[in-house]
Amino acid sequence: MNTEIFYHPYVILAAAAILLIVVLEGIILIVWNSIKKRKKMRQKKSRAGSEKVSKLREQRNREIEEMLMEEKWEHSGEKPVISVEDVTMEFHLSSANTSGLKDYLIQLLKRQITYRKLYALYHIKFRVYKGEVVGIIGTNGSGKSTLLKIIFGSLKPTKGHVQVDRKKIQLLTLGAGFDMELTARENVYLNGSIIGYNRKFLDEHYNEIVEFAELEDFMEEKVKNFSSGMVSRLAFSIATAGDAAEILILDEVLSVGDAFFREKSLKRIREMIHGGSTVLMVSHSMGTIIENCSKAVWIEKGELRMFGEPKKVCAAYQKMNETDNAK
Amino acid sequence: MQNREFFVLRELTKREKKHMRSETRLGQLWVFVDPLLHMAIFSFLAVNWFTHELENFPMFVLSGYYIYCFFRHGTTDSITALVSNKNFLIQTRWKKNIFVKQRVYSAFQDFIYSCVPYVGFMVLFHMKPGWKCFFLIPDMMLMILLVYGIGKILAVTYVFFADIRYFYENFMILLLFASGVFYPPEILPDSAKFILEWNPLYLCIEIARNSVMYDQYTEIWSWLRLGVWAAVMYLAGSYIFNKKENAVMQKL
Repeated sequence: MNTEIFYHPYVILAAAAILLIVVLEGIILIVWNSIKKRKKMRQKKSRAGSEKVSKLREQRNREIEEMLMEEKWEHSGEKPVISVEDVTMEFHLSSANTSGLKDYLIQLLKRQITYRKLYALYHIKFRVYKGEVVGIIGTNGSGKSTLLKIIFGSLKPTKGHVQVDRKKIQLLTLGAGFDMELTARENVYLNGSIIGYNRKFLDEHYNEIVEFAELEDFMEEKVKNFSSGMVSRLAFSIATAGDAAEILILDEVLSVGDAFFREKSLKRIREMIHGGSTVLMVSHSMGTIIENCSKAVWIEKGELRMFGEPKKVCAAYQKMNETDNAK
Repeated sequence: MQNREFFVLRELTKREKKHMRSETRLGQLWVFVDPLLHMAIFSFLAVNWFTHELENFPMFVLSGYYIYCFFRHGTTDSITALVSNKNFLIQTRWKKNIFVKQRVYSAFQDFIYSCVPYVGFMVLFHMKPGWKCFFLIPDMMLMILLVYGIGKILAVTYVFFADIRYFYENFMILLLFASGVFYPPEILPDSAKFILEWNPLYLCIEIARNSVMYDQYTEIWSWLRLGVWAAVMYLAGSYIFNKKENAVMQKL
């Protein structure tokens, strides 16, 4: 047999083509099987849940509507300072945890990326009137911080909207807005500018800020050398400087610092409330809420469970926690 | 409100410069020394390796190089504008695009500083600028719009794909050679000339050279093309930035 025929280019080409087709088929089969397997594993429960739960939710919604109407009557003629109108916040969480193009493409090809909708907030409705001190409670991950961000304006809700004069809001969160490599003095100006103060205001109130934070000897130090308590004190001091904002949003800031500073900051907040500011605070401490708030709002797993008198709401919240713990 | 925004821009720029220069010995002086060094290196290279019949070849190269540097710094720094300012995003009451604005502002500041030694050398080479050199102002304004638009797109993309930084760096190298910085357009073959004609960076450089070095008018088509690029990039940047704002906040 003439073996030279095997070296003919067309023969080689044909052999290579056949090999390629076989290999490709093999890969496709493997990928197809793994997709089928994953499809079987990809069973997500729908949010609707059982009939019993939806009946409970309907009842709750009715109660809330009634309370909202009552409140509107009480404050007749008054326009609410913050009006949260049917806010829903949907997050599309992808199961892919990719930080680069390569990972994303690989997971995409392997069909490993699935999306699920997470309702961080679901049809939230409530109103805050001038001078009220509203406490927002709920377990971790219930959507409180998301709600604050939406009210402040950093996040836009998927549905619904919030009616509020954003220029009047001051937001206080822990630690955000500081650059560790700069000195405290530089951070006052940087943070102040981010919050919205101008240079003149900061120059005038600089000493006041330093005094309130009790950091007179530390202003030329880099913030990275500060303790977390010192940082929070400085942040609090900057945000509450001067004639306070008309609307103050506190994201778990009253629980920092030592007992003396906590007292001082609470006193400052009370001064501002006295001055007519409206305060929205998130806290895990029932004591703080009951002591200082005129109204409490309970958000659980993105839904508005209850709102009203702090004692009542906190009691209901505590009851739920106890029954959950007993389970 | 404008004053306050300017105040934020300056504070953020101060912070950026402090980070960059805090470890160096010369510190703030680098702002002037850097472009001077560039000038010295390029003059040496231009005279010894890249000599061309063009008059004042070093100035020719530098006029292109400084604009290229502005483009590169403005866009490359904008890439990390959102991610590195994570802490401020939640608390700021300003629109998020201020962080990209600040990077472009910082790059433009550096560009202005680099103009100082350039003017000095113009005097040295006895180059007299005519009134047409004021065309540089609208030229750079269009460039700023372009850089800002591209910066916004890059900033949003970086949040989701960190790889873009490396892709873009390589693209910048390509752009350096495709923008007529080191050579006059005449040496290119006709088929390649259209790349230059549609490259916004080259268009900006061409207008700058014509206005400042040669005291000539640039044809209206170059202006139009640059204008279209700037407008398209700015609008695309704004659109993508606004659309993805929520997703960015969620990710960071």
